[in-house]
This record gives sequence, C-alpha cells and structure tokens, in this order.
Amino acid sequence: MAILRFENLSIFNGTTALVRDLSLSLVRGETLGLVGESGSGKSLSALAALQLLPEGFAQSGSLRYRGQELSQADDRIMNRLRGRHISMIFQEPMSALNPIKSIGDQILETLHWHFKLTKKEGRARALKLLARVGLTPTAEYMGRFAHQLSGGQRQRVVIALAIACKPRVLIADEPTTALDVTVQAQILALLKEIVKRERMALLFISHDLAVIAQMADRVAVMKDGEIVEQGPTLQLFDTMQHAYSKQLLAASKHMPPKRTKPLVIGDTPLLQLHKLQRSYALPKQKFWQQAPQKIAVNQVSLRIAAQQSVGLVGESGCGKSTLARTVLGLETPQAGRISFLQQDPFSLRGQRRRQLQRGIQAVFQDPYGSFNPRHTVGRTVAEPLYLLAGQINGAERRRRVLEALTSVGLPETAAQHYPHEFSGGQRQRIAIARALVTQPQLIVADEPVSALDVSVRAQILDLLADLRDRLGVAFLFISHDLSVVRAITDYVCVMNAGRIVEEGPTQDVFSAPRHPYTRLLLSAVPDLEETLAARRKVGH
Amino acid sequence: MLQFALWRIAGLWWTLFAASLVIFIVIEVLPGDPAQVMLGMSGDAQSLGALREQLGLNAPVAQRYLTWATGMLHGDFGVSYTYSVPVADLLRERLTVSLPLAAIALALATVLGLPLGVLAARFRGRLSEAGLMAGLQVGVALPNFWLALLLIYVFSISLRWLPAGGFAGWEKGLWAGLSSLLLPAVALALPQAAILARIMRSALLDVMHEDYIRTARAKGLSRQATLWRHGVRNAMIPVLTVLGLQFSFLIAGAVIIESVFYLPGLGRLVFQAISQRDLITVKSTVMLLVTATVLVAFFVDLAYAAIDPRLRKAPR
Amino acid sequence: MMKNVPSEKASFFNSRYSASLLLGTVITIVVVGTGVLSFFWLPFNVSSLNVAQRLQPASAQHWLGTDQYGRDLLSMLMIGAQTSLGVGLFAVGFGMLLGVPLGLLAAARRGFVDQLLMRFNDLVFAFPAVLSAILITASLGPGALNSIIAIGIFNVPVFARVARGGALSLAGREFLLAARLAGKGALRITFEHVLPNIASLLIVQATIQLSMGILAEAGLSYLGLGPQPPLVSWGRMLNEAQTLVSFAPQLALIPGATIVVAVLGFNLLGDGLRDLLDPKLRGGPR
Repeated sequence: MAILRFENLSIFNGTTALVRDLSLSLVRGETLGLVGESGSGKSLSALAALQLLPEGFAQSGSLRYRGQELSQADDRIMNRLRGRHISMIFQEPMSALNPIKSIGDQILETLHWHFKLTKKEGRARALKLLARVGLTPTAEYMGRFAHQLSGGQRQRVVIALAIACKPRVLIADEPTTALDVTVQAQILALLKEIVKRERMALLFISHDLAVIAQMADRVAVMKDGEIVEQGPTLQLFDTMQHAYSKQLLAASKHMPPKRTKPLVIGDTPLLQLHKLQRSYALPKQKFWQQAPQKIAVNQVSLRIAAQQSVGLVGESGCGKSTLARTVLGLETPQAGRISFLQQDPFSLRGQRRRQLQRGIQAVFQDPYGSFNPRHTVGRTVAEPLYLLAGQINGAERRRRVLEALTSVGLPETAAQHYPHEFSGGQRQRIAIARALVTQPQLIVADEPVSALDVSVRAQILDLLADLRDRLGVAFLFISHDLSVVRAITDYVCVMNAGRIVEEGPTQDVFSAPRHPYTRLLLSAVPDLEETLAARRKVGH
Repeated sequence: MLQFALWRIAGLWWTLFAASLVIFIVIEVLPGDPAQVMLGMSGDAQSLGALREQLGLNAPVAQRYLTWATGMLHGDFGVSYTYSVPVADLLRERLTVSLPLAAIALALATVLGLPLGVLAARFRGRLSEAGLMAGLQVGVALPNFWLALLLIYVFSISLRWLPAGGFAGWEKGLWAGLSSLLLPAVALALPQAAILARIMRSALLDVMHEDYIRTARAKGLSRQATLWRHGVRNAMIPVLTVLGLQFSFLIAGAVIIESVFYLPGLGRLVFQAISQRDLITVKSTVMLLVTATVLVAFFVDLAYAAIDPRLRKAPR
Repeated sequence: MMKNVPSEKASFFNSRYSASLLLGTVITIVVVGTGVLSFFWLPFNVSSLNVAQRLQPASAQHWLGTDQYGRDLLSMLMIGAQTSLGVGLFAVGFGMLLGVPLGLLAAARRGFVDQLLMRFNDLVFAFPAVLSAILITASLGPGALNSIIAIGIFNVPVFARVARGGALSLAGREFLLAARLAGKGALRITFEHVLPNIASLLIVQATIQLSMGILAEAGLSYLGLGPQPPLVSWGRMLNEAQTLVSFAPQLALIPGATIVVAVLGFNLLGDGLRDLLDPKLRGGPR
C-alpha cells in the first residue's frame, strides 16, 4: 500500500497552473526519482507534500499520507506530521540552517518539539544522530554554527535534522547540487544507506539523470508541470517512450563534435604561466596577529598553444577561479611569470596593455549576473570594443557587434533588447558574443555551462565547439564538471589545493588517470551508462 | 568574543578621542577668540584679558586640549562661567533628571515598538495591518516636541492630571519625580516606538523569507513557534543596530523635550549655556552626551555579537 | 524567441503599495508646490505686523486665522515651507555630494579606506543634528547655513553607507569583471555600471533623509538654533505658539500638523518608491 500518494494534484499561482494533474505514489522502502529541468515544477511538488507551498499558491486534487487526506488538513495536524512522519532535505545547506543557532540547538529543537524527552535524553539522541550522519559526536561539535562547517558537513547536519524523528517519508530536493562531486558521492551513499536501513520512502528530486539512475527504484520525468513518463528505473531508461524523456537523455549524453582537422601545436605558446603564485589574507583569529594566508594558486605552470582547448578541472576552492582571474589580468600574481603572446601583461600600461587585453576575453558562469541590467544587449556586447577606442569608427563598431551576435546564433535585432528579456541559454550566447567582439586569440570560460539545464548546455557546448573550429580560438575551459571538460578539450589539467596535480592530453587523463586525486574525482562522478550497466547485471 | 570586545573597546576610545577633538576645535579654535564670544559686545579689554587668563587661552592650542581632555579623565570638567561652580557638579545634578528620562523613554519605545512590529508582520496583508501601518507612518512623522505640546494641552491643561512642566525633584518621593518625567518620556518614546516597530516589521518579513524558516516549518514547528524561535531572534540583529542609533536620536530629542517641559536636565543645561555663552559648560556637557551615545552604541555592538556568532571575530 | 516578461506597469498598478506611492506623490506635490508658489504669491504679506488683526479665528479672509502678531497663518505656513524644504534639500545635497563618493571609494578600495570610513561613521553618529547644531551655534551663532551643515553632516555617513552597501552588493557581479576586461578604469566603471544600479537606493534614501531633515530643522528652529527671523519656519511658529497653548491651541496645532503631513508625504513617497524599485521586497512565500 502506498504510504504517500499524489492524485491529480495541481498547483496554481493565481490562475497559472504550475503543476498539473500530478499522480505519484511512494511505498515503504522505495526511492522514487523525480527528474526534470528548472521550472518543471518538481520543487513545488515536494513542498506540496509537506503542505508548505508559498503564500498565495493554491492546490487542487488529493494528497494522502497513509490514507489520510493532507490537502485539506489544518496546520495542527500538519505540524504533527512534518518532521515526525514526512521530512525534507533541501538543496542549499548553508541557507537551510539558521546561522545564529548552534547545530546542536537546531537538532535538539526538533527532538524536543516532537518527543517528550528530558534534557539528558535529548542530548544523548542528538549525539547519536551526529554519529549516524558521520559527524563527530561531541558536545563541542554540537556547539558549532553553520558558518564553521564545510558544505558537506552542513548537508550532513540537514540530513540529521530530517531523520531526527525517524520519519517514514523523506523528501530530498536536489540535495547534492550545491556540493562538489566527491562530497556528492559521500552524501548520496549516506542517504542510500539511511533509507535502506530505516526502510524509509524517499522522494528524490534531481535534474541529473545519472544521479537519479543511481538512487531511484522508480523514476518519473517531469516537464512543464506534468509527468510525461514514469516507471521502474531500468525499464524507463531502456525503453523510453516519450519524446521529451528521450531528448533529455540525449542531451545529457550529448558530446559536441570532435575537431574536424587535427590540431597542430607550434613552438611558441599563446599563453605561458611559469610557477604562478597567489595567496589571500584570511580573517585574523586574534587582532594583534598577522593575518594567516591561504595559498590559492601554488606554483602553477601551464602552456596553451594557439587554437588549443585546455581544460582546468577541480573542486570548489581549489584555486581554479583565482587562476582564471590571474590569466585574465584581473588579479596580479605575487610570484611567477605570465606571458601572453610573448609579453607580460602586468608589465604593460595604457595603450599596449589594452592592445594585449584584446587577445584574451572571458565568458563567466552566471548568465544572470554577467550583464548590467540597465544596458541593452548591443551596448553590452560592444563594451570590450573600448579596448579599440580611437581605432574603429561607429559603423565598424556596429558591424562587429552584429557579426558577433550572428556568429553565436542570435538575430541582429537582439541588440536593441535588454538582457532580462532573454532565457538563460540565450544570455550565455550574449556573453560569448561579448567575448568574441574583439576577435581574441584566447577565451577563458569559467564554468560557462554550469548554471544551465542539460538541453541548453548541449546547445552551448556545440556552439563553443563550432567557434573552436570555425574561428580558431583557443580556450581555457574551467569547470568542476568532468564530462563537460572531457567533451570539449584537447588537453586537461587537474587542480587540487592550489596545485596542478596531473595534466596531459584529455583522452589519456580520462582513460588512464595516474594521480590518486584524479582517480578519486573520476570515480566520484555519477556515470549514467555505468550505473545502468550495473543495474542490468542485477536485473532491475 | 573577548577578541571582539577588546577590538570594540579600542574603537570606543578612538571615537571618544576624535569626538573630543571635534568639540574642542569647534568651540575653541573656530571662533578665533572664545573669550570674545563669551563676553559678547560688553567685553572691555581688561575683563577680556582676565577671562583669557581664566580660560588658559594664552597657552598653545595643543596644551589647552590636553589639559581639558586629561582633566575630564579625572572627573574635572572645568568651572562654569555663569554659575561659578564646577561643571562636574552641575552635570551630576542634571543627570538625575536626564538619565531616568532617557531610560524610561528607551524602555517605553522598546516595549511598545517591538511587539507592534511583530504584530504588523503577523497580520501582513490583513486590514488590521493596514490600520497599524498607517498609525506607525503617522507616528514616525510626529515631531516629538509638537507631540509634547499636544500632551501638555490634553493631560495638563485640559485634564489637569499631570504637571505641565518643571521638575518636582526626587526628594519629594518617587511619584513626584516620575509624574514630571512621564509626559516627556511618552513624547520622546512614541515616535521612536513607531520607528522601531517599522524596522522590526520589515526585518521580520525579510527573515521570514529565509530558507531556514522553511526548514523550521518542515521540522514540524508551528507558525507561531517558527516566528518566535527563528524569526524574531534573527530579526533582532538588524533591529539592534537601529536601537543603538535610536539612542543618539533620543539624546537629541531630550534636549528639545527638556526645553518644552522646563526640565532641569543636561539638554536644558547645554541650551541655557549657549544663550549665556558659557562655552566651558557647553563643551563639557556636549562631550558627556556624546560619550553616552558612544557607550550605548558600544553595548549594542556587544549584544549584537552575543546574538550573532558570525561576528565574534576580530575584523581584519 | 523573447521570453514573455510581465510589464512593469501592470505590477505597479496591481501592487497594494501603490496607495502609499500615490498619496506620497500627491502630498509631496502639494507641499513643494505651495513652497514654490510662495516665492511669487502669498495671500497676505507676513513681514509687517498688524496687531489689530491678532489672533483672529479662521474666516473667509484668513482661512486659518492669524497669529498673535496679526499675521495670516496660511501665508506663514506657505512661506515656512521654503525654509523647511530648503534646509532639508540642501542638507540632503550636502550629504549626498560628500557621502556617495566616500561610500563608493570605501567599497572600491576596501581595507584601510573602509576602516577609516567606518570610524568616521562612528564619530558622526555620536553627533545627532541637535548636538552639532548646539556646537556650531555656540561657536558661530545660529542661522540657516549652520542648520544645513549641522543636519547635512549627519547625512554624510548615511549616504556613504547606502552607497557602500549598494556597491558591495554588486561587487561579485560578473558584469563588473567584464567591464574591467574591456580595459575600463575604476572611475568609468563606477559611472557606467555602479551608479546607475544604485541610483534607486540613493533616491529612496534621499526622500527619507529629506523628511528627517525637515523634522530636524523644525526641532532646531523650535529651540531658536535654526534659521533666524525674518525667515519664517514651521518650527519657529511652534516656538512662538508655545506660551499661548492654553488659549490659542490652534497656533500650535496647525504648524505641527503641517510638519506631520509634509514628513508623512516624503516618507510615503520613499516607501512607495522602494517597493516600486526593489522587486525583492514585493510579496513572497509565507
């Protein structure tokens, strides 16, 4: 019998239906994966299960927990169910925890809210919970605050909160999206183990098909507020029916075209870094002390040849973004040499510096934050032409902007519109157009597809591969996502704790990694094909 | 926490030093000759010279500042020119009025303002909220001295419940003293309460949009429990900053309100000292008021750090 | 290909806060309008005393009656608006001109300049307008200019903080990095990218500081530390009415109510503008 059952549940904001006729059911000990792109309504469905829809949202249809209708239930009943019977794990552990309450207090609060416990019993159970989720079970740890923990530790605390009262139903909304791959692997393993041991029903929500395939017994695919297809995991992936599911699967496996002609590497590098060093002052612990230093980039050497596509992979905080900013000339290195076209950009001033800067431009991660909302697309794309001020006239400026827009597949009319009128993928095209407008030899792309949905990501990767072949631009491609780097680069560097621990031709590094960190990284990445193959072996 | 306190104490001394320097420069350096200012038109050469001698104006500026500043550290605020008594005695006497007035007003403002703010946030979107918000808007726009005039008109002139002004003194009992401070305190507190309520409301509404509020609800906490345990507590952080600033306005307001009610407090003292051109008294009284403001800001900062663990570190 | 974006206009008229914006705008226009009108035309001349007409009640001739010197109250209020608004506006201008560059500088340089600004903030917040006015008056004498300085000094750190906070909230935004990649200098980036994006914050703060300035000016004038006669100001009218409060309460009531309405108007305008310009504050979950 189903423990949680959605029946024709629809969710409205005003008159717009954001979720339509959702029908799902969960049984004890089962994990149901809900997969979809942003805006598909999967998070709203999760909130509906707890009856915690944002204010002003309405619902119709039915939601039953062990036969009890929840969509009509009043707050008193729901308060008893939430946390005790149905619990939730959120995406962003930093903001999900109260910053000014110790994690111990937050766990104790849950326990004391649902159970009559003495102080001593409460503390004992809280300590056991910390141990359960793999944290240090000490009083000192209980007194810590969210800002003193790492991302993975925070998510463990959030899981501890959710399982504190041994709920029957657990809902996890993108629980590992904000985490690094190695941490993601640990958190997924922990979740899987807890759910299995406690025979909980888990509603697991993700945009990542590989993660879903790994976690779920059954999968439902959601698009624009509707479930287009659902079934047992292996069966669904092997005999996909619906066009959208197929498209999603294709996009997540998508590889942009390989180089049409092989790359010839000349003698003189386009960019060369030699033992680059960059560190930051950390906040002082005692104000009379010298501020401790964090070395972000440690003795990094790197060569990029003309037209070469080089990938830089690593987890958050490994120094890859600092390295990118140094290459771009936004941050001065403290030691080491950098030369671009045989010149050190930091030794040049004025016109000559601008001249050099023309050859190296950037595409950033966030398609929402990378434009001034008050400038038109035309003005935004034209901005780097400031580097050519006095050398080109207005007509040439216009021509260049329109040419850049066309080469990224946007219509010329886009120039008159404002960035907020475009979708995420279109905005990333605008960002690429802006990088192209000075006709650079090197583009530094810092996580250019990380914020995008899979289908859009595939299109942008194709575009980048096309630019690589057509315009002969070299790329420094920075990403935490190994599959992206694998797809589009010729050469890859793996970075860990400020150092490059392994480098080599992309093919070689991925097929035969030598450094233990690279192996760890590669093994932590959920791989759809491998997971499905393993499932086929056991038959479900 | 200790680091933070030490750091703040250093900042406190810096502010006091800079403030004393500003006061000294404005009073003693800007006008050219303070003795001339104090005597006004009536000063003849002889009394001008005598006064210069008394004020120590013949010494170099730096030395004059040091004498004044170190004197204050020892409790020596100079001798009032008009009253011919030590300013320290005047201040002590006036503090018995000003300190209770400020304390009552601050307490009233907090006790009224914060709950009203929570209420307004609770009833968001309902008609009662609209009414409350309209009331608060008017409260914020009220000049306290005009409110004081209205209160005098209603409670002293029409109803004759409370005295219209003056201070009976604490010797005649607690009530006699309190009754003369009640109307001034209300006049001071009401506009401040309205400001506090508005800030509490918006801070609370901001906090209630945070993810951890959703976590608390998902844990099963009721709306009410979430509001108090996670909402109000976290909203106190921005409210506290404002509370510290409010004291600065309260002191300013007290100067005016004491004039309306003829209360013999610090504000009235400094105001009278101006009209009598008693620069010695002005200088030291303003310094005392500034010190009070800075001290309150200091304690608010400590409270701030006690609530917010993220701040318990020394800044870079 | 463009996403369908709801137009700003629609949400403006649907917002329940448009009431405060509308009311605030109307009051502001009336207050500012009468202030401007008083430069060209007044119902009665208020510079000459007319004891025969003293303490008249409201009538068809004197809509609000006359004061103890026989001056028409409505004319006094109208000309008083010049002083109150003038002092408030100049004080806001003073605060903005000094504070905004200071705040932007602190946000851009961080470190030492930032610390310096914070200490300067601490210092200025220790001197509320009345205290600085007392100091300035004690040493230089009372007057409109000194009131503007006394009130304006307090506005400097307020605007510095708003500008610094606004600039810092943009600090991580990638369009600023893109502008640096375009070879643009800090000053150019500030004018092209930072200022336009914090302008709305500054405008909202300006209306709030304007209303606080009007209140502060009224307080100073009431104490006799503000603009001196022959300038008429609302606070001064209250001061003169104080001794007559028991038998001519309207003389205290009317100027006071005028201050309340004017301040209310600017506050409402500020609130309305903030809700209009900052979509973050419009409704949301729970």
